[in-house]
Amino acid sequence: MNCIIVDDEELARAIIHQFASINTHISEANEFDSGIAAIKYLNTNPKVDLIFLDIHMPGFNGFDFIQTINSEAKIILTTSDKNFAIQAFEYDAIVDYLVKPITLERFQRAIQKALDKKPIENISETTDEMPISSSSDDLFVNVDRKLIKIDIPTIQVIEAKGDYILIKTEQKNYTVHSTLKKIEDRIQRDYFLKIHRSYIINLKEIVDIKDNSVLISKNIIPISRSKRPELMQRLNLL
Amino acid sequence: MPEKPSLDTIKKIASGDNKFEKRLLSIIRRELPQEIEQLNKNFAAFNYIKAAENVHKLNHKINIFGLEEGSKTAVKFENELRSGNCEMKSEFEAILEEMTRFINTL
Repeated sequence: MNCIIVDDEELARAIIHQFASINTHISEANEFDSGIAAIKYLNTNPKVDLIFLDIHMPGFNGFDFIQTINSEAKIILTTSDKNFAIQAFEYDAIVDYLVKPITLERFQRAIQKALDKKPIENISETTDEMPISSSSDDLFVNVDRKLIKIDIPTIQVIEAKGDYILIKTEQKNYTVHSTLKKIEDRIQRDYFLKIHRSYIINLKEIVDIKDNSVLISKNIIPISRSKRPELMQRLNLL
Repeated sequence: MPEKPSLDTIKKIASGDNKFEKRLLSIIRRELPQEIEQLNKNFAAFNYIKAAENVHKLNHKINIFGLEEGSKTAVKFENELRSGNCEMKSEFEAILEEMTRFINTL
């Protein structure tokens, strides 16, 4: 198996790399200190069979990573935090969960689990990474090799993040390979407004507006000077 | 009596490979001060969310040194920081000082 190790801590990477070099089922192990660097690698090296993935990484965490990649690789989560175990079961690609510090014995068991698990069916045959629209209020997005349905009115904020967009709903966040422009075309509703080059907000979710920012749930979103008049016009002001 | 750092976990991970054990210690010697410096910067900037992330990362090294109580303190401190409370700062810093002293004696 070809594997990659994604962890911002060198110590953790060194331990996994050493264990991988001992394991006869692993032929190659490349290390990455960030999720973004690993995604770039995966985009040009699709033949990765296994990913050791740290959940806690600054900026772009392990779950953001899983929702973003378009890879058939199985995933073994690595973390110091046992509390993410339940969330881990939501993802088909995850085969095991290793709590740091990892021991060789536990590592070998995780590899065996990865070997035993059957390949996951690729649910989505499409290569189109855009959100797929449907009728009514449903928006389907390609996440973790599944088409996930998002109820459009539940979207609070959409944030541009480089080649990706982060869709925030009350329940969950989704990182999707797309652009604000594409999603803006798909979710044309009178309650959505682009208030900044990197943000589309749901006007119904605004808690308050202060100076040049709006509060939505716990998110403080900046308002562009050029977008402020349109925002104020769309609000039901007393 | 406060718990003392040990090399037991590192030796278990290294499984008798002395070269690898030395490499792990060398990484800790380099990474630990960097992570502490980052934590201090975030404290100075009152950025407790980032500081909580630093504490989380440091917890791996606390566990590596076999500091079970220290790890429990780290988990608690991380949660407190996420709520904007840094009252456990000095307690946590004492653990880091103990680790730094220990690594410098090796």
